[in-house]
Amino acid sequence: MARLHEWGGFLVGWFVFAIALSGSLAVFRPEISQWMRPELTSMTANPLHATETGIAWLQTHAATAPAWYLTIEEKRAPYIEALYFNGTRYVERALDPTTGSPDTIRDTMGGDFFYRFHFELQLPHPFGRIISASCGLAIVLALITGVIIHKRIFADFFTLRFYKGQRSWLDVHNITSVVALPFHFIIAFSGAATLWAQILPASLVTTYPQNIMKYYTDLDPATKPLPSKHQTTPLAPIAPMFQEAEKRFGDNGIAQIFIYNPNDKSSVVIIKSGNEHHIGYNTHTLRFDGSSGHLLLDSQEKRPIVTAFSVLYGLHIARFSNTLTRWMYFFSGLLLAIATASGLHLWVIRKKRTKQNHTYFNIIERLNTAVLIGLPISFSLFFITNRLLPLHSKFYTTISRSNMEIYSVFFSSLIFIMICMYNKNIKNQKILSKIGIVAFLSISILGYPWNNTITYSISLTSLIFLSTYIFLYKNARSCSLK
Amino acid sequence: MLIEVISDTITSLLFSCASYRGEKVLHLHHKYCHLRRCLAWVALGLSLILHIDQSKTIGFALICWMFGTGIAFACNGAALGLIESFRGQKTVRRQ
Repeated sequence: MARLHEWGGFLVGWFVFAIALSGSLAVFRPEISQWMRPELTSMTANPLHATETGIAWLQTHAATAPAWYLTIEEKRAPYIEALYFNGTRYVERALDPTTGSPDTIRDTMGGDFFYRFHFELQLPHPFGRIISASCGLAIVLALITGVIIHKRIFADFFTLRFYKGQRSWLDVHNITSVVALPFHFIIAFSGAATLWAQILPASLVTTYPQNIMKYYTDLDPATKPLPSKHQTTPLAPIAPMFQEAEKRFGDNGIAQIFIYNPNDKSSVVIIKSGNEHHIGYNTHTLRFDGSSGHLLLDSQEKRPIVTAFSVLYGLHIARFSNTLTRWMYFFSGLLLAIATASGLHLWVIRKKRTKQNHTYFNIIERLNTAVLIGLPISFSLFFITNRLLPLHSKFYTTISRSNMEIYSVFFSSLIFIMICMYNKNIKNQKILSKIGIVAFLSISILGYPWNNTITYSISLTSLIFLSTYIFLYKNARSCSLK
Repeated sequence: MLIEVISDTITSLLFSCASYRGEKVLHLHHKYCHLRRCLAWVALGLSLILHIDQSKTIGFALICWMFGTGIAFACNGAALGLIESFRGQKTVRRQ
């Protein structure tokens, strides 16, 4: 059992750390997106006007796209987010709610980067999702085995002893794991359950042997796409459909609009309600004929198993939550990251004490430093690059601005790994801590003039990370062999 | 709501009474530690049942349970740590 906990934790530890950290940040996805688009603070428009102008822009710039997916403006995200196929790939752009154009807003992925990284790890489909789902299961396994092998779970329950080497790391590992144990368990299980199709594909392949996409249609029949008839027909005005949806959805409001085959006789407009007032992710969906504007279907999910799944999914993504709950998700996620980091550090300490040959463990120790201290810095560089890169440049035709921001994260991670492999571990910790101090100080300053709660919160959070890096700098040491 | 808060508080108090630090700070006898440990696990399960009973949905009950117990544990741990550190100042260093 102890070996399973140790090795199971070690093998997925770096991924779990990255997933937990990015997941914690993804809780504030709209807020981060807003911070990374400072132009948005001065923009206000009503959602119907924003949707109309957004559709007008898409009519001009993506008229032949097979579908448009719009996320409607709301309080946390005051812009329209449009996803469409531009002939070569899917493009996601934030549209100005007053003009409908993306040109006045800087090109960035914003908080969506952390959201996608959390379950895709920026890897091609389906590898990232398989790894993330496996990590979810591994966390569940590590929690169960951890509770079983922890003989002194009660004795050590509220114990945190500082400056006692391995003992202190074990205390940190225990306390961060145990204090939020129910959260860790539910978040890991629901995370693995939401990606069940990646880790248990057999049932899906058996039920839908010819076309797996039919599963998604059966899951949400109201959003079933139709094949194009290749007969040009103008799209009916969106306003009557929007108003009908607002009337039927009531307090839940409108969250998303999908338009399949725009400007075709077979066009379909799907309007989905918001789900901030309930935990489950099950939505109220309306389906309109896109060419006439007539309502075709009013669908509300009632199937028990789908509802149960939507509750699990809703628990994981926390879209229902208020500000306080979101902060609790954030800090509990950070506790999971700290528990993972301390576990990985303990693993190296123990192995170096018990094994004769230290070569491999020295490499792992250095990689630990590169990942556990380096990754938060890489994420911080994502924020800094957002403010340092010019809004318009001729280079963006080859690499888009949003991609440059993402490359900064991976490029810096690579540099950190190279630094760590080259130097001794104490020096690595000192170097990375210094970079971290500068990086997080920069983020807290970049929020100037701190004119809203988002800039305040991000600056304060980066100051918490800054103090952590100061602590790490002052206490930099290699794994003791005595 | 109040009954849920009380249940989470009692659960965390039982866990702290069962811990080594809790025994030391609260001057509890080690003899009954097994009983307190059993009661703590039972209280954790019962508090989940209570949350499910009091909440409209299972999802909301799980949210309240995981964060309620988490906050209660954190507050209890911090309180024990504080009490111990205040008492620790009074101790006289052995000659």
